[in-house]
Amino acid sequence: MNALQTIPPGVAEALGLAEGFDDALMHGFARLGEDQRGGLEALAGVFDGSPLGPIVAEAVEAVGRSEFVARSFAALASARVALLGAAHDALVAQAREALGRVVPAPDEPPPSPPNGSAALLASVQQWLSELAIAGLKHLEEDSIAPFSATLENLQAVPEMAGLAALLTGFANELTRYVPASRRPDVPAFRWGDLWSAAMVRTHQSPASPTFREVEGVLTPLGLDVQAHENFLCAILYGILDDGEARTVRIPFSSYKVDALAGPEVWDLFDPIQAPVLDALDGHKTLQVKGELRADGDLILRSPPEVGAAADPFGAAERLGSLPAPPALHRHPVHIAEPIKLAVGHGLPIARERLGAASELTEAIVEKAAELVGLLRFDRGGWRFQPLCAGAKKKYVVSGEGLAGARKKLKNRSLDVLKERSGRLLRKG
Amino acid sequence: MLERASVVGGGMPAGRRTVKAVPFVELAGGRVQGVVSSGSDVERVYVSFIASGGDYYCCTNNNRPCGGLGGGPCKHIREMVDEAVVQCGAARVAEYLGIAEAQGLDDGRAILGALRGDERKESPGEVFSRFLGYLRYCELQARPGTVLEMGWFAS
Repeated sequence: MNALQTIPPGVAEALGLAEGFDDALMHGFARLGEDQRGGLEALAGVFDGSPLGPIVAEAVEAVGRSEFVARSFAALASARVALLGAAHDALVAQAREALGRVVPAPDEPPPSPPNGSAALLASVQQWLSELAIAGLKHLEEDSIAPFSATLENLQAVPEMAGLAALLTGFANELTRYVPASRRPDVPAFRWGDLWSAAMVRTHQSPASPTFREVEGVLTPLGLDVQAHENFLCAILYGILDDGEARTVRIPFSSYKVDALAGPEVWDLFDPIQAPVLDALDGHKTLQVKGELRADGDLILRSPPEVGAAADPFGAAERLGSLPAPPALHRHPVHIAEPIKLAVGHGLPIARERLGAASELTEAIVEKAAELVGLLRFDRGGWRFQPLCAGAKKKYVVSGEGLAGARKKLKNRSLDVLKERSGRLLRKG
Repeated sequence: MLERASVVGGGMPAGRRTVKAVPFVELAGGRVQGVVSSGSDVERVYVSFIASGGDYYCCTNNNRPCGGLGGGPCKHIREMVDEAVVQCGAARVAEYLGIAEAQGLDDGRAILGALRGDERKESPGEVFSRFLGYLRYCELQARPGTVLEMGWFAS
């Protein structure tokens, strides 16, 4: 993967401009110094002559005069999101050229206004604005705790799960860091991402993807588990053969309590999860039937059936790209290009994306003759997140240990919690 | 290395909580507070807290004080702090409780030993409603599909 040792022109500059904004966000718009003002002006400068240009310039002038209105912060967030979106597009084009993949631009329906009530979304904008004014590096518990009522209302709207999951994780993380002024190591770029992503999502939502019914044999390539304390999104990557080979994601998304983690979390997806985890455990294919969406999600409505022995490396010869996310969602963090690599590929391993309990240990990944996984971009360069490592007869696939671990579970946390709260309600 | 990093590993709690003995624990409002199961009576549940500085209380949800409060925190409070350590790490719990010198304080007993506070009688209602609020997460619905925003939260 020599072609991915460098990055396309302009990407490093875009990341640098985002960092300039993040510096102001960490510092607080109420206490901008020369450096932060310079960073914001550079950000506005790059949009000069573009449709966003006038509103970004106006926002930078307004915050410079200490006029703090939600509209200005929304404009600044849009600028950061647009920069990272452009970086995403350039990176995806580079990766697909290197992989020899041609992907037609998706036919994207126009975004719609968000589903939540206007007052609710205005409350979110208000809180995000207050964070920006105070500066994320200067937060106290009192800057975050009062947001919980707004967050609860947002979580109650199922269509807003994306924004709610993002804000819940962000608020949890900020709470873990307070008082942030005492920590030298705040993840400024990440917080700039989360803050600006949340802000733009209060203004518009992507339209729902179209779908069609499919039926076929799925070769699992491995699980990518994404979670914070209160939400889980585990994605099974696979190749669906319904006459044609299609690279798909089978998503498992749910809210959860923090005590529910590891193998136990799969209780949330009963009964669909059982054959999926059994197939990973036994290195088998799955006979699936479901709804294939234009965004690449395959939604299962009934438990699939475990099939014959799977050959992920063979199937990976037919790997393809997943459709790009809607424009609003484009950010390098969402690049997950499925690829197959041979030993000596030269890409750093994205260990930060593999949990401590991952079956794909450093030793297994290092020794593997072949790898299937996701091409990722972070920290200014390309990285590789393995999903499956080894060779045809002997391999380790991410998620294969879950079915076995679940057999050893004794108490079910959810049942215990409900029983205990019942006791509290009844008597003391 | 956090430079230009969108995803940072190791954000999740270090240990795995068991909810049987301590169904609920949180660091909030300047206190470690939670719900603790009675060790002897399966029917009984205690509501406990220890505040920054060391003031503490433990009672049943009928507001009957815990019999173990004899001039110091009871074993329920200790168990609760132990669970907070599993959930958040000892350093964070000690810091949250306002202990300046937290070196070597790695469990509930050690952390409580570094605090000098008084019994402060309080109604269990607030902690209990926080627990119910926490349990809301078991009922919330999300639409099926990949939640792209979770891309920032590698486990």
